[in-house]
Amino acid sequence: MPLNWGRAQGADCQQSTAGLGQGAANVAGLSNQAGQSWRGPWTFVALALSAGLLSQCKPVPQSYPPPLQRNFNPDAEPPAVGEAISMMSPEADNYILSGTITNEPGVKWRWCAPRLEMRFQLASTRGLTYFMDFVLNENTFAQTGPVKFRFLIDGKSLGEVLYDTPGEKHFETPVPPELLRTDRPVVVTTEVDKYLVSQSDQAKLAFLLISAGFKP
Amino acid sequence: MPQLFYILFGAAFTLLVSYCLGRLLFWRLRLEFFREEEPLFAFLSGASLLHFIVFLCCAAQVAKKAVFLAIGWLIVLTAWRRGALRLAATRRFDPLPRAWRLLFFAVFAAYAFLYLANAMAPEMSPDGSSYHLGFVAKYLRERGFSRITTNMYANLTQGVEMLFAFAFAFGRHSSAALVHCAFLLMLPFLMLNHARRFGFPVAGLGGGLLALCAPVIGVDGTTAYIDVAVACVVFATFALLQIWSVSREPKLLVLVGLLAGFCFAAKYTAALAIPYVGVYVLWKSKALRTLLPVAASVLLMVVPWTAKNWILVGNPLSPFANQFFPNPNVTLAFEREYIAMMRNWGQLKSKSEIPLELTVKGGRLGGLFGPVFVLLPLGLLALRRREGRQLWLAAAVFAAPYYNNLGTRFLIPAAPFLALTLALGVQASRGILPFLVLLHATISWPHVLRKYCSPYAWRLERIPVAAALRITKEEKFLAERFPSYVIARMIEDSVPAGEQVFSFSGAADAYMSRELRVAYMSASNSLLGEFIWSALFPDLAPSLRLHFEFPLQGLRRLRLVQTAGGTDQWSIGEWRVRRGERELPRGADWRIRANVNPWYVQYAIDNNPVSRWRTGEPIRPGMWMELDLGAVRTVDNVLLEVVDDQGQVRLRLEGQADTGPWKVLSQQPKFFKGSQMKGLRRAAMQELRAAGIRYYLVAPGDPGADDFRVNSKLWGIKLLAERAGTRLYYIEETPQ
Repeated sequence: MPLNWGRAQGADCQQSTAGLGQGAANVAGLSNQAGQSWRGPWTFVALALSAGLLSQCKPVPQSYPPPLQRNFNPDAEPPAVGEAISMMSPEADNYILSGTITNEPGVKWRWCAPRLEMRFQLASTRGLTYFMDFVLNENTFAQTGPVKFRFLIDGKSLGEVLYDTPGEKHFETPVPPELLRTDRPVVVTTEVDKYLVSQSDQAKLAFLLISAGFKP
Repeated sequence: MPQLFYILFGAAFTLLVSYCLGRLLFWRLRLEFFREEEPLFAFLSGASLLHFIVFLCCAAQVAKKAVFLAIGWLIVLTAWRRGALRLAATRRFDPLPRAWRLLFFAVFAAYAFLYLANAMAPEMSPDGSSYHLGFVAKYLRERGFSRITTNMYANLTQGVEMLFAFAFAFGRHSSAALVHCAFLLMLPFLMLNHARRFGFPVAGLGGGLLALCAPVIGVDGTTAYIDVAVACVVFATFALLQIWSVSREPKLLVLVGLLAGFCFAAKYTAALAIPYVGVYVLWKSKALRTLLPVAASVLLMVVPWTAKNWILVGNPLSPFANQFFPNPNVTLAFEREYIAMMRNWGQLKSKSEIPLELTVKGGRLGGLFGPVFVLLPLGLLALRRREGRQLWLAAAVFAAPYYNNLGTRFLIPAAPFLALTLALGVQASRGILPFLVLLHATISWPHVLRKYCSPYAWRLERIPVAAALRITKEEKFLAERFPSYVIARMIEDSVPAGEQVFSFSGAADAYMSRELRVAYMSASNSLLGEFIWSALFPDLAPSLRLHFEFPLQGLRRLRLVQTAGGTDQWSIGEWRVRRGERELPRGADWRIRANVNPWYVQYAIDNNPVSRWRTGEPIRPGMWMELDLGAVRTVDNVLLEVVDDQGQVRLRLEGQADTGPWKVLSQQPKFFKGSQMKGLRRAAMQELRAAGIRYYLVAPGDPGADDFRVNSKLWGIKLLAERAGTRLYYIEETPQ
């Protein structure tokens, strides 16, 4: 559909060609004014002539005024993510790059795979701690035993912790400023060494994430 | 009344009205056939007339159930009162051999059961549930045709769909599929009649069954596709022409023309029937005037569709022939890409894979005819007979479009001819033909077929009796088996009436009333899709700057002239006119135009770098875009923001003072890369909203699908619903 932002002008030639066509039709007797029509070969000659002339004609293209100007302001772009997120938040999807198995909006926790990647946009790099609230499910723990968690920021190690009991856990550690940046989101990777493979759908179930992020 | 009743009534009423129309025509023309031929020819010619009537109803905006019911009964009563329903023919063909008759009816009965069960089951074919019945449902909702510029399939001829519409009005999707199935079940009888008339009845029996049992013909003919109906009409045109070549009955040519024209009305590629008939009649009669009745009835079928397209979308042959009829709806580049894509369908490594794909595998070309067709070269033996040569000629003509589309079903119109040549070629060898027929019928049965064909081959997979009889609820059957239906229902449930949804993937349009604008289906959709890509992929971002500098001067008009030839398309994201570093604000008195794809030029001056004007065809010297500044303005440079995907483009900047000649301001620009832009995602979505689209559907396989989930805030979209991995977003408003 053409943009309907303004009235077009032009198409001058279309009018003139219509006139030409009419003229040719009159010559050929197509107008049937005197009851004489289709005068044999003259009809075809006239039609061919008019078709030839029409095919030479290039209509003047339509012209348009400027449309409603868009308010394009790249600096006004809001950050895609903030410094921390709870899985209950409707914006949780924006933070998770990969590694969640269930994605039900509004649910307190999400099942995670052995490798989880999340991103956070920081306003500053100094004096921050990274935290993660999660659950080691009793059923999976019964199969896996103690699980070692490894945390990385933009691929660089932040620390490792071994959890030898199931239940709700809270991880928190200060983050050296040199691991952080503010010009683009940092990617925090969580890796675990043991997980359960679901019998029903072969999903790799590691832990249940509740919330994560940076805080002063 | 149970749903089943409406389904059967819709189909039966359509068939009855078509038959009565045909009978009335025969009564008027006083045509005489063999008794076995008469009902089939009557139905097919009546179908062409009924299509015309439904077309008129759609054009007059009165396409609805009550009108169809009134017209239908009027036709039936008229035919009955005129006595046209009595079969006029007294002559009958010689009886068929008893053993062959038994074989024919045994195989026919088994396959008729299979086909009717599938046709009556809820419709879930890809094209049938999207555009074939999607438009039918839309026409019936809106009482007729409307100007559809956002879906090129709306501009294909829809002759068979007009019959579907008549049936759909009463019994919806399955009624339409049953009408198509009727064509399928008629096909072997049509072939048999032709063979009996010309003295090879056994080959007719065998050929008819070979065509009937072919898996791709079975699956196509039991859904709301149109190919088998086209094959039927094409074959009837051929058969009538052969009858005329012997009888030279001039009135027959009216019928021949009607059916040849209906071929065009049913499918563009079947339009070959028109030159085929024209040349044949001229060759046989050696008199131009014999073409008059043919031409008149051909025009009756052809003119409505071409006129509709010309009036509504500016191209009588849309979505093709855009070179001759430039229009804003389909670009020449798209047309060429589409044809090239169809020509390389299935991404075969070599054309030598085609025969095996067409006959045994069927996974890459969308279906198979069955392994027995490997023996088709034996059909060359039929060339020894005149009838065989005629069949081969017709097969060659109607197989010609296959060059442009490698999909198996594009050979369906030629398949009846090919099946007959094979049968005719081997009929002399005792026992071979019945063996081939039995073998073909056995190994084409779904439960056997699945053992050797590709798992991806398009074919019938089951005999869904419970679904056909609606013992299994339609909703349940579709929800369990047809993801496209689930997505359509998600859209229907979440999107308010009258709203449009944009997507890169299709859905079952026939099961929803909201308009789904799929990216590749029109020029305007395609542009919106490109804007999204521009925001998604850095390579397609408008990051290249073209800077034209020239001495400070007063200019009224500026013109960019493209001077190179090549395969790239020329595009402009933003055209900024400047004096020093300061951009001239665009005034209401400015005008912009281009001599190619002129309908979208405003995208070049909308202050949105993501949206862009493009030529819509490969570059050639002499393309230009012109900006009228409304009055003489003092300027000294021009900045273009473009996507770096047009390396072949060469631009020159020209200027004109208020009057006087154009002069060259700059022979070529300086190029530099701009910094990576933020805000493009939201800018792209802003364009969708500006085009009246507030909903966006993302399928798991769509380009950058995950980016919409992860960066929904940057896109300015909100998740509304998710089914089968496909997500529906609402595009939030951005303040201007």
